[in-house]
Amino acid sequence: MCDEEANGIGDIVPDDRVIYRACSRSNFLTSAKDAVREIAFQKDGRNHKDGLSLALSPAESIRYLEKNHGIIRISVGEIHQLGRGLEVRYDTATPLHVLIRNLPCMDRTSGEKELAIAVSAELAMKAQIESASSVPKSTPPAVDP
Amino acid sequence: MTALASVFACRTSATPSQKGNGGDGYFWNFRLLNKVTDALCDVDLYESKEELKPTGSAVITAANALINLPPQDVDSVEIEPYQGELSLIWRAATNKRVKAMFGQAKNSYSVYYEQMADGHVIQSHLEPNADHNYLRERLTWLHS
Repeated sequence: MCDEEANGIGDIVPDDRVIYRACSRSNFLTSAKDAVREIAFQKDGRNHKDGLSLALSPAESIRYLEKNHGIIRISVGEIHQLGRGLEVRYDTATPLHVLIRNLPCMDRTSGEKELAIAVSAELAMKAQIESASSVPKSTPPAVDP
Repeated sequence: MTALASVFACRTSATPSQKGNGGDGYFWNFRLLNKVTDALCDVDLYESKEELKPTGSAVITAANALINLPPQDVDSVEIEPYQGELSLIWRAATNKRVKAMFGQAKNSYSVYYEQMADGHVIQSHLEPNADHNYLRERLTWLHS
């Protein structure tokens, strides 16, 4: 698998947690916005050197994105129980950031790509929609002068 | 001339269309061209402005693949740019999928198919050296 970097990788996230991923493309959701598409769980090794990024809260999932088209969620237990060797781990440098590790990459060998497409389909089947439309970033409360 | 215009010019000039004669072929290709162009130009399908776009070669190969398919497969296709690759995706219910992928390398043409049951992929294969015939075979399987 293509997780080249292991710096800042923490403990395994417990199965009872739910984690969130911002829809950085409109087609993370079906056009009817009633299901999650496989592309939401595809990753390239050149862009995701330490794993696929998700977050422990919906707000954290959209924090670093200029735009989003909604938010999806998935249970950590369902990821671990897929039987694909995936692990959800904390990022020790960013408290609300987690990574799906051991996810195969789309940009390596054709064998790994086939596995990446299959695993992304299984993850998409398990994922649910948290928000089907763009979620604004919360702004900090105004400070009284 | 852009990649899309090349396909369009090629298919509307000398080559007889499979979709009909004369004007029918012209409008068919125009509709197909619009479909591909809409997806390629949809900024919401890209993660950022910096994301790699599909190459002209990928666009031409994908458009040629579509031209060789029956109208119902063209109508039902999902067109998906992803990190410089262009994918054409077809689905049957929720358990079968065929995905043709056209990458950055010239003549890159691969086809993946899968069948799922109970949330797991029970049958899949990625053919890295596919062609139009192979894609048609997999679409026949998809519809079977």
